[in-house]
Amino acid sequence: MATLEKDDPEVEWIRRTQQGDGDAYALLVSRYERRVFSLVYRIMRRHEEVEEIAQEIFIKAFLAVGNYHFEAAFGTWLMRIAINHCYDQLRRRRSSRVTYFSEMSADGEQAVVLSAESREGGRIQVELEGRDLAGKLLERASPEDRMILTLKEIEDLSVDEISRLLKLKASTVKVRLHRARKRMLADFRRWQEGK
Amino acid sequence: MTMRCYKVRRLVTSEGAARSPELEQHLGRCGACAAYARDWERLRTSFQKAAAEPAPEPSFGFAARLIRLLPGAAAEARAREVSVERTGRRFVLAGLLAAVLLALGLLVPPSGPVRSPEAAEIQTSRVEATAAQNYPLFSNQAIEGEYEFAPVGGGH
Repeated sequence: MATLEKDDPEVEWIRRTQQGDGDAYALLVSRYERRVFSLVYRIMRRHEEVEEIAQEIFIKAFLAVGNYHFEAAFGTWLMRIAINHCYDQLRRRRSSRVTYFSEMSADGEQAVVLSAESREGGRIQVELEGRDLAGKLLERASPEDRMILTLKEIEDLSVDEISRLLKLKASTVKVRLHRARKRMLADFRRWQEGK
Repeated sequence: MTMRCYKVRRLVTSEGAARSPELEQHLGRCGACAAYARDWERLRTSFQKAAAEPAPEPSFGFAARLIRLLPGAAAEARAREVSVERTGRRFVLAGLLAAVLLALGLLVPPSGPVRSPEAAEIQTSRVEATAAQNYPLFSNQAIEGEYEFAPVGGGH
């Protein structure tokens, strides 16, 4: 994530946005919309929610842009807002259901599989292969694990980049990553054993 | 020295860890760790496939639609801020009032039917002083000068 160059028009766009100029903000949105959409999709993993969540993120960023002091790159600052917003959404989503396969009874497991099938166009067999495997396991992971694993394994960010985004020490990120991988692997193995 | 299973598993899942001959040796010997490493590879591959999957693109006119929403969102945020401010101010005022009442309760001397022993003493000494002025009989001087008490045990 590069820092801002002095002659980058983005600096001017940000200053104008801070004065309430919507047109300048539109330029910023156009520059970052793809990145935000991609991040939101990778974390939330639901096509139908991406645009709405991205919109909420950009509105939040607009309302908070007065607190942006050019200390980090605007992109990093915006991604931080996006990550926090997605994290809140995941927690809200998770609060109403059981996630890990290992936390479920056989009936519960079946119910989740059936609901996943109906959501995804009535497939008869749920394939936990390829991208589906990662997707299904991430879907069942805690918001914390899901966030850090997505940033590392799918967004392919370095530990330093993740530590900047999450405002954590690099050593903390490494420990959390290790634990998250271990938990996900354990869940995957439990699922395999029960298959 | 042989590697422990927990260390091997940590190395297997840690990023960019080159597999040392020692690690490979352990994996060749330990079936459980080998299975662990295989599972991890499977997960990693699936993460890579998920990463390659294209994310949805913003729909046409996304930025323009968003900009139209901003004034409403800003007004809503301002209204929320004002409401939070008002609630906060009410809490502060209520707190101040409670503090003032508490201070008053502690500072004002009790004057109700239930009195502290100190207050009772002050009252008694005032009564005594007034009585001594009006009726010298009760003053120490009067007692010492006019009356002679019989010694204990009867001395007549």
